[in-house]
Amino acid sequence: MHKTSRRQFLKVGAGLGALTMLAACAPVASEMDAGSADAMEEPLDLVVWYQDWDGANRIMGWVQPEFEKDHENVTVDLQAIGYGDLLNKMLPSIASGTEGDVMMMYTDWVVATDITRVFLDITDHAGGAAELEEKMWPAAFQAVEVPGNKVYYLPWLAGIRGAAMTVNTVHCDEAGVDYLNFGSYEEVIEAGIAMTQMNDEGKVTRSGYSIASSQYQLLWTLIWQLGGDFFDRETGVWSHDSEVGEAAAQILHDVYHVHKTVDFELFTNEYEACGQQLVSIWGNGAWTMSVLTDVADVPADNIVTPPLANAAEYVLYPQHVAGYGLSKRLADDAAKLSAAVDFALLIVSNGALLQALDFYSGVVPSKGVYNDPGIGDVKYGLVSKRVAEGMWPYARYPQDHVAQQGPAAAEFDRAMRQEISIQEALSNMDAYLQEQEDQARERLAA
Amino acid sequence: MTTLQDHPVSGGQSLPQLPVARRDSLWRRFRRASPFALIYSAAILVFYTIIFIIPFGTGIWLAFQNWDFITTPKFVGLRNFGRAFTDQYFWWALQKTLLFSVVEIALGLSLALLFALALSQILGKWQNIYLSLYYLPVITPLVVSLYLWRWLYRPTGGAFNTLLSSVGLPEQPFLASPQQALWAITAVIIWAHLGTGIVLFLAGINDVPESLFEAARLDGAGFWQSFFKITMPLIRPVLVYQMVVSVIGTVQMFEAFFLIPGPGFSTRTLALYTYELGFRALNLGYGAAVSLIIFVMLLGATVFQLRRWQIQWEH
Repeated sequence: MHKTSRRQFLKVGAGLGALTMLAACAPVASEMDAGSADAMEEPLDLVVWYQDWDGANRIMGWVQPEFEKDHENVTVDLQAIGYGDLLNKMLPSIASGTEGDVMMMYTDWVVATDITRVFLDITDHAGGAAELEEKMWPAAFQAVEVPGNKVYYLPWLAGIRGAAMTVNTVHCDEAGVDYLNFGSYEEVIEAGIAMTQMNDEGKVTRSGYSIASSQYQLLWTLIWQLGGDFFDRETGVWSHDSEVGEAAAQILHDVYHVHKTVDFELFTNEYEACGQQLVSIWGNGAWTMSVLTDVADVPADNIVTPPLANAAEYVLYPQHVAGYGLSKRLADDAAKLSAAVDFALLIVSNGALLQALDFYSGVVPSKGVYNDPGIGDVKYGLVSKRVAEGMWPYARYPQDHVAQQGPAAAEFDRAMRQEISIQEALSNMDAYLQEQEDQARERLAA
Repeated sequence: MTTLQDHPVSGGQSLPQLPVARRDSLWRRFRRASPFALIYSAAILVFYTIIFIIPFGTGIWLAFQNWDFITTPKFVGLRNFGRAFTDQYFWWALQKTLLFSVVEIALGLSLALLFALALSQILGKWQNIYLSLYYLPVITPLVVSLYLWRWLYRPTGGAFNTLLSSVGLPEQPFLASPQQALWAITAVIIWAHLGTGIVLFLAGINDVPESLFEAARLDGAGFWQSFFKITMPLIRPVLVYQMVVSVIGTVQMFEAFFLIPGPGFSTRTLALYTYELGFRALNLGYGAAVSLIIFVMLLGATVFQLRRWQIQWEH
């Protein structure tokens, strides 16, 4: 048998390698090089990334066929991605140019970077900023600082942790609590005291009002309501450590240690505890009502967090907004851009949002859907309407540049657990947040 | 260097001078290598470069930048490294990591060794049956185990507290307590990995020649004397290997602290801190710097362990 020598082998290998490299260097014909064919008729693939949860899957199940009816040449590739995976992959994918065409996002994912480099400016494509703010509550566009009056994402849903409360209606009925008519935040606490149950040793066995999941968001809300502030947008200076900050923190501290409506050792996870019906009122977000009702048979309802009795101003901090952004690659592909804009607008259209409110109890930024005659026909339509119309006009965002508030929230939690003083916690929070803010501003200025 | 000429053989005759072997150059050895060897080597080299060299090099570069994937990277020199030394969260994470590592390794290896010793006294199929049972947690996906234990640890309605209250003992907060959370997670990890240690130690114990034990018995040695004087020295390579791997594994442990965390900073280890810096805070540069510091620490610990417990004798 003829044996190949090493020299021959290397020569053949080098030749094949050179041919492969030449083939790889060949230009790829794009759809726009098709010549006389109309680009709009060319088949298109639209990749849509969205968070994998049952509600979103159901919404997309409605949106996709509706979209494809009017866009026969477009094939929508829906990719449901878990929250953590979507968070971890979005920015690296955008940096490497492999992102989806339409991407679901949360506004706090992009506050620490330059949103103009993350998503495409869709202001004109979506009808203009003024028209969008006519159709949706303006606050929904203010969760992220953007230059000028531009639109880089279409607001879709908002769970509004801290800005809304969810109640166990059976607990409220048993205690005679009229939760729909709370006049002030203090009345919520009173109701919580009435519904709290303790054992013989004084240990809380059922929490009448838990702030465990929403205390950080409530801190910001209460600071604003007391007439103070914690972040200066212009200078980028954080200032929780102030008289007003301490006063707001003290209100929340007293929920634990004076009013005793919740105990740190009652549960590890407040959301699970709500499913066990160990909590009567909680502020984990209006979205929890539908999930706990449908999955855990918890009889629940939503209300807007009422103001402090002595509030200087009624303001609410609703944490973040979920929305859709478009890939900047689409700027070079008019046909695909048009299709992507249509798809994104369909997701936030009244039709799609009505579908969503049949199983989603959070709020949507769209005004129009709540005026739709069909709002009463969907399961959570009216409760969402009540909360949205009571919350959005008072919503405010600090427009900071700190993506990871976790350590600051953990410091505040230490004060609530009395591991450190309130003043020390607020000071530690400011130190951490300031460092993050400064680093983000350094990147943005580069 | 002495040669044969310095030591003439008897009879006065000297041996002919033999040519001294010359080490071939790299090029000569490359030319003589088989083509298939070159292909396999090149493939592994390319793979290693893509999987390790490039990411590691990028990490080193990143440690000197302020970057968030999107904006233009800004060179910041040694600021990220300097920050680690003044960052209280870094030291807290290091403290939690060290506490977890030391306790998990000490308890985990001790229990594994004891179980292996016990199993070595059981002969026949029952040894395999017990070994299989102890190995079940190892083959169970860790995520499943973690969620199971989270349910067991529930402060209200959890299995453990139900058991405690049924025997009149006070219920415990477990994961809800900053003081208990770290140890609750440590217990889970020990349980999840015990089987691996038992298998390895049992293999080492079974490898010890029975004749040594017989000789020891004849000399009047008891069970524990035999264990400490014969078994322990002879299974030392297994022990060293387990220690090295355990140190690396515990420092890199992520899933447990991510999925069933304790309150606040009570279970925030270096691995979790690094993840949060990179993917939550978008502080990639500082996250890379912390990762490099962890790498250097682990490298130092591994080298120290291997040198400290290097086998000095053969048997």
